[in-house]
Amino acid sequence: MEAKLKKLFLVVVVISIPIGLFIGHDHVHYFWHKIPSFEAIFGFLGAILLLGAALLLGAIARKKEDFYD
Amino acid sequence: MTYEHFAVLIVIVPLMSAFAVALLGWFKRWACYPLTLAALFVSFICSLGILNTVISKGTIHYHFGGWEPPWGIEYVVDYLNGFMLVMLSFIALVVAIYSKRSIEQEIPEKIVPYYSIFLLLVAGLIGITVTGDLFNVFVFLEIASLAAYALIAVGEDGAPMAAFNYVIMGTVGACFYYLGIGYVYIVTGSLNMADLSQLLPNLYHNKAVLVGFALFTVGIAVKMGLFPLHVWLPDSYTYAPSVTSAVIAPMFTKVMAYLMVRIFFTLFKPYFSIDLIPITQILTWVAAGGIIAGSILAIAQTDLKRMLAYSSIANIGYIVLGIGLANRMGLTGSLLHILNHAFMKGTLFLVAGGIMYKMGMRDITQFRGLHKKMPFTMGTFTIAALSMIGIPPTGGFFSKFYLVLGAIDARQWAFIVVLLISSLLNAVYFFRIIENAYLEPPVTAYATDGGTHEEIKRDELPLSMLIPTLILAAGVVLLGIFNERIIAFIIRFAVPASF
Amino acid sequence: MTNPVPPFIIFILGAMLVPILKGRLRQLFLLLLPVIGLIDIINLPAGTSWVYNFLGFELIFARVDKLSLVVGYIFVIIGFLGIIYSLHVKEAGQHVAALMYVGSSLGVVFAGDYFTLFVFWEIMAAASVFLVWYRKEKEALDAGFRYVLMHLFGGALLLAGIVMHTVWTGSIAIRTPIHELPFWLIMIGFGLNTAFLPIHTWLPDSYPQGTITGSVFMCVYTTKTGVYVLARCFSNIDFVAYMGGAMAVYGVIFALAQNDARRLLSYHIMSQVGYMVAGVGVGTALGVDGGIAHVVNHILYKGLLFMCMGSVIYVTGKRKLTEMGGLAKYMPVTCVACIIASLSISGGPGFNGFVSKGMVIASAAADHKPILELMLTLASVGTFLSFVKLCYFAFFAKNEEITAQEAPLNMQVAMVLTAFLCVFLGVYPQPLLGLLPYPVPVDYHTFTPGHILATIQLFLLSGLVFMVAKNYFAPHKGIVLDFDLFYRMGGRIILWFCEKPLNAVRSGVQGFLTNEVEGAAVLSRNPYRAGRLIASYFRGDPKEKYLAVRNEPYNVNTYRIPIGVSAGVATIFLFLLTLVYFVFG
Repeated sequence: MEAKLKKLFLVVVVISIPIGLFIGHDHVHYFWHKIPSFEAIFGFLGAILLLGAALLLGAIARKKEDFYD
Repeated sequence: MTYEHFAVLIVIVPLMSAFAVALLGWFKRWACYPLTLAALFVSFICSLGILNTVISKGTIHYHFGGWEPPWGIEYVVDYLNGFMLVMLSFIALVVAIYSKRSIEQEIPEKIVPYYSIFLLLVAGLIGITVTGDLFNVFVFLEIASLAAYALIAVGEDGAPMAAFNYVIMGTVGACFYYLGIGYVYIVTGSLNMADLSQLLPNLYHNKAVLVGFALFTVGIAVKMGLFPLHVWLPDSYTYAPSVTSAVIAPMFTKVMAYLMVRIFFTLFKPYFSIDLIPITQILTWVAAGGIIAGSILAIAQTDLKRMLAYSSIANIGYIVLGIGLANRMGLTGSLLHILNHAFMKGTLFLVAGGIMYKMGMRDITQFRGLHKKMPFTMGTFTIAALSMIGIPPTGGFFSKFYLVLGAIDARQWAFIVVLLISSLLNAVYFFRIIENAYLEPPVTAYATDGGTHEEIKRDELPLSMLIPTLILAAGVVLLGIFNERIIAFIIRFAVPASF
Repeated sequence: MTNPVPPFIIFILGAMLVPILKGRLRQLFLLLLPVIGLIDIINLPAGTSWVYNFLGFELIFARVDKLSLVVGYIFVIIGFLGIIYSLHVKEAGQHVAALMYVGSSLGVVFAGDYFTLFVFWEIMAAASVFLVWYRKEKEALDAGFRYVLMHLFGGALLLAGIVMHTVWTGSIAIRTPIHELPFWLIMIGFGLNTAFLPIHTWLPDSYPQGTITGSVFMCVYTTKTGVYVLARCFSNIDFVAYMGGAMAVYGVIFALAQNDARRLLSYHIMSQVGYMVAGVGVGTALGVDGGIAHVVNHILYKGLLFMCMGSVIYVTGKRKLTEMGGLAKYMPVTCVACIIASLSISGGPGFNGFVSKGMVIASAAADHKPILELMLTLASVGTFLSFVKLCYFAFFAKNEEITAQEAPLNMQVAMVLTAFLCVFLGVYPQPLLGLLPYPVPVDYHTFTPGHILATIQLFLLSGLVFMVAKNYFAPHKGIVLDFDLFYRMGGRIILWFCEKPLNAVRSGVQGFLTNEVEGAAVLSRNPYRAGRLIASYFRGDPKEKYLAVRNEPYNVNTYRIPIGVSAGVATIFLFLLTLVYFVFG
């Protein structure tokens, strides 16, 4: 059941990317608005970036809960 | 209603009543008190009338018996002695109201002569203030002095000796004054102050006049208790009966200060006393010494009245400092302080008398927990103490303030320091008493049962003693609140115009 | 109908009456107050009213225009929902504090002059701290103190700026300050409430520590009031815009690293407020509209999120994500509400966040701020990620030990109502758009296919990353240090300094002075012997002799001078004076 849901999810993800070729971006202001499915790429990269940042933050600044006491 | 006779009534009434009391008291002892009160009340009304007349019509000149000066004796009342008359008669009246219970407890067998001499004292002091004739001043001065000696001598142990010392010094002072009159009379032939003030300027370099002036200065200084000629003062104030201290302390020395102002600035023109002969300069330093010495010695005392006596010496220092600064601000401060100090010291001595009445002792260290026993009394003491230290809005603050302004005007910064230090020293000895009375828990002298505290019961003074104390304390505060009015309406004109 | 009063009166007076009422009557009264408040606001006349003259300045208590109205409406509505949520609380004080908080916030919103604003600003800070303190645990009390200190600091800056502004311009009307110093002071003062970087630390410090019901109120009013006043005075300022972007990104990064559920939400407040601040900072009609719309929407879904997490804490007693999991089957209503709220906050189409986020991001792009647009979009990614994390680890992760039941009825009702509003405004945003201060630009359409697709793509791809790297997202025990490291450590250093070195100085001075005073006291007890004392000291007398002199009591009779001496002194005085006179005369 779990695996099936995951498979379905992957399919949806993969399909959504080419749809971007057909449905363009409104309000083209900057160069990246012209790239189709820009949000998909940005979402992917951004998520990795944020994950990395959060892990880095945790490594540097995470302390025990009673640090201030 | 002929107001012009008020000037003489104010003296005659107490004077005659003194004899009346002596006579009447021989028959009916209880009659002394009411008669005294009546006489002093009449005096007070007269003084108010006089002040009113002075404000509305100007200086009063009353020719005694219709004889023209300078041969006749003249009573002159201007702004300077106008307010002093009111002050003197009011305080005398208040103290007299207070006196009944105190006298009955302290000197029960001498009530009649006491009241009689009391009236003589008041008559004498008022007489000094109201007259415009030099020799008349001496007469009244002697009346007042002798009355004072007697009133002091009836006190407790040590009083006769104190009175005797006072007799000696007082007579020395009075004789100096008398000699001064003599020297001046020889040269000018006149005894009338107004007359003399016209005659003397030509003679300012006359050696006789100068000696006379010196005699005046020292004589008045002795009678006033100016440091270092004050030695008679502490003993006299301490051992005298409570009422005596209460009536002499606010009044006698102030009248002498008034006399000094008269002689320095009315009799002799101001420029004589300030520029020609730097007596005012000398006086400021002497006064400063008195302030400091009085305050320091006051701290050392454990007897309440003795402490107040030294405090009086310090305050006389303030008044003379103001005279010595010889500018408008300084003299205003001085006159205002005469007024304020009379009320403050009056209150303090009345409280001391009350404590003596209730507790039979005057030792400061025994005052613990007194505020529970006599809350109103200690309250008035605190008010008067705050005024002595110089805390607004009580009167003491304003007179000291003007003195400081006067010192600034005269560019004498040392005296500002002196004034401030003395306020601090005042605070020390007054707060010691206040602390003892309010904060320290009472110590029972005879705790044999494990030292439990005795419950302090309220044992306030009887009304006839409490109300006068409250009145004077209220006066202290009112004088502070209304000081501007007083200065604007009265004192401003009392200061000689050339300042 | 009498003249409608400024709404703060209803709430503040109501707050004072609460302790008198008891039981059901009190609950009814509490529910009634926001209703009356709403009616009151609806009836407020446009423009300024309730103007009083005070010391030559005009105090304005009711300045009514589209901006203040829309904020006023949502404040009252969420107040109503929050009260439903907190109906079960028995302690009167909590209700009083909450109502005072709501009332004073309304006071700020409708204030027309800086004095009134400042007074209500301070009341807000004071009232809200009680919502933290009422939890009564040590960490809550401490956090409350830090909250108070930070807000008083901000209030002081604000006051300084207001005073300068008033003195230099002569008027207290609310508008952008002209001079530079008041401009920055007032902006920072306002900005502290909106959690500007780096003075934001009070937010994640104190919001998780509040009471369950109190935090629902707290997450709404302080920050949004700050946004409101920024919109009034500081819109169209680049610093503000980019600060908003920074806040948005910073907030999500920190949120991703959190373990305490409510602390995660608090960092998200900072992030979402960043959107609002950015919109206001951009300043175009679209930007301000977007920012204010986001205010309304965020109030709804953030309130809902705090309600959900609050329910979880209430039922299970657990606050940390590491301890939660698998609650979906026990608390279905809460779970669904939380999912709705998460989709709203992420900006999913069909939920209210989609509308306002789109407006803000588009305004940034349209105003030639590409960096800002990218920052905000990045923050959207992060938002989605952290809420997937929240929902997953709270409701779906495997957790064997936990048991729970659904939240009490009043809390469920509140959550359902709020979720409904989120969905309603997401599908049919027209009522909201109509209330916005500026008319929405014609060329902006909310539900373009491009936009919807873009958002869905964003979600899907970031979801993919989550799924793949799930374990990296897992919560860890421990706290993450933030800028408050500097204040708290700095505070400790100052405290140590006062205790050790300064104290040493004080003791030294005190000891010295005490000795001096004691010496003076000894002297004063008997001044006459001072001479002998000094002589004895310098002679080097044995100690007993010195002490004997020193402790000698003051006996009056020891120092009597024969009166003849005095008379002699008088004569000498006379002689000297005469000499002086002769010299000068």
